[in-house]
Amino acid sequence: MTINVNRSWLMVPTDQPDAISQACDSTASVILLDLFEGVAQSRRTFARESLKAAIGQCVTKKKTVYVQISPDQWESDVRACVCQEVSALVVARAETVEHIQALDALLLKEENRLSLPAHSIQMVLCLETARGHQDAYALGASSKRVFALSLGRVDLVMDLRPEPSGEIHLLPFLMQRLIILSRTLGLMAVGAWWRAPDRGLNATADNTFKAARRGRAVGFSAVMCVNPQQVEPIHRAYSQEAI
Amino acid sequence: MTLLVRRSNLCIPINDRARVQRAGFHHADAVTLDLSATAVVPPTLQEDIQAAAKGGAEIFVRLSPLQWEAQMASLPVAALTGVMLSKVESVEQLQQAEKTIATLEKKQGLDKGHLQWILGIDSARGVWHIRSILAACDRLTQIFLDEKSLATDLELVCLAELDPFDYARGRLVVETTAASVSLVGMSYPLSVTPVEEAFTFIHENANKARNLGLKGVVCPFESWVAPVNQAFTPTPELVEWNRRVRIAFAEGVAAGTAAVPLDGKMIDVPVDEWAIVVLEMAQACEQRDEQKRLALLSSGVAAV
Repeated sequence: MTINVNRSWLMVPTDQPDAISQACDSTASVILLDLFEGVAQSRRTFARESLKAAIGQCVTKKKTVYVQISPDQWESDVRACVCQEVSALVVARAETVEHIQALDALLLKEENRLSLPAHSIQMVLCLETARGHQDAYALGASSKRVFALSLGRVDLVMDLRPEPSGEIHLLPFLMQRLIILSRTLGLMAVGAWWRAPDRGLNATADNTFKAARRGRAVGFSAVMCVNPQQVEPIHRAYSQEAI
Repeated sequence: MTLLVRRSNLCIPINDRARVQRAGFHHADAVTLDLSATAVVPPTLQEDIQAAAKGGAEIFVRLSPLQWEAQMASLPVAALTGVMLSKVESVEQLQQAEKTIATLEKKQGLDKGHLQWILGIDSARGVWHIRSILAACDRLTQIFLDEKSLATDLELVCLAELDPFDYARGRLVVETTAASVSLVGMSYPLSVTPVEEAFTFIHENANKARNLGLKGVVCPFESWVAPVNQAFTPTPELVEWNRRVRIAFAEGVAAGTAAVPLDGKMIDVPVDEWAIVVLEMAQACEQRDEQKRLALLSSGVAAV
């Protein structure tokens, strides 16, 4: 398995240049340009049109760039984002092998069109739905581009609510299953062990540190976050001192 | 079905001669002579098996994941109950081992199936593929969930307060139970950082392991054996309660009902069924302990 040093993946809406600037000024390992979750439906086209400029901002700051594509407009998103500077696509709400294989084929076509090396763009699958989890093994094995699996915002998508203890229903089960499955397939598991009141990756620095440390303890190797203030606690949770 | 009473399996490195010679005197239900760190089978193995068997324990050998085929060819099969094989991850691997062991049994004039398997599951692949592994052979009696090695495979930096194996253990409990195979191991975090501790501490952790669905413990230390045996043996109070359950339920059935009260609790079909299991297990444990006591007496050596 490849050793991963990209611990912090900072997700930022692609239609917000100021937020992208702030993200680029952070020490995040990866800037995850979002075309879906943080972008209003009415601004999706604008976000796609802004993508090349956003990628440019990130590259200037020597950041690794991933792009999160939407499940409903994935073809347009893929055509907008394929370029040498984008290392990976994050596939939100991955559910079917057919979808991943279609994505793979479109990526190959775009790579050929742009004279990029075949399969140079990798994929991260966010398993956020019950169906995605049911077919997780087949999804993870469906393309050699897939290098990581994540729960994404499964707590919100599947409406998993907090227990009185603060643990979110089903989350420990889904996390540990994803980790075992990822390792079986030789893939990275991306995530953190969030507890209520933190939902949707948004948390205080202290809670982010705790979630990342718990996540590391059960087998995650990187964390997605949405605020630049979360980056330092994530790096700290993965440091030697956090052991 | 005969109940398998293998509460404690004392695992001792074969090179630790002093411990091997005393292995039979600790009342373990089974003793595993661990060859996993050696390349070859030592010439003293037959003698070691005899020493370890003095207390009536079943004798297993744990083979090296890398040298198991060569080691297996040199085993005195007739003297063994079975073989523990670690790092089992796939059906193909198990089928190869199965073929080798069957050939060996034939060569030594033994019935097919003489040797039992205990398979060590210590990787994500093993956990994920457990159902096909369980279905791949008939001689499998136990699965050993080796959480220490699993933590290494997953590159975990464990926190004592956070059990990372809920899913892995849960999956194995369900799958092994469905396949009528016993799952053994130890509760977390003692499973990852095994230490010699006071009787009560080990007993408490073994109880926890039993409550998690495990049927026994692979003991790295002699001091674990007694508390583990006790934790996996129904207590006299539990036996007495379940005797009363059976009587109360039978009276209820005779009176035309399958749900009767006893000391404020409802006794119905599942409670009665569980009572049968508890009483049978208590009896099987008693018989096993008597077998071991007699074996120790006949060996002419006092227990430690």
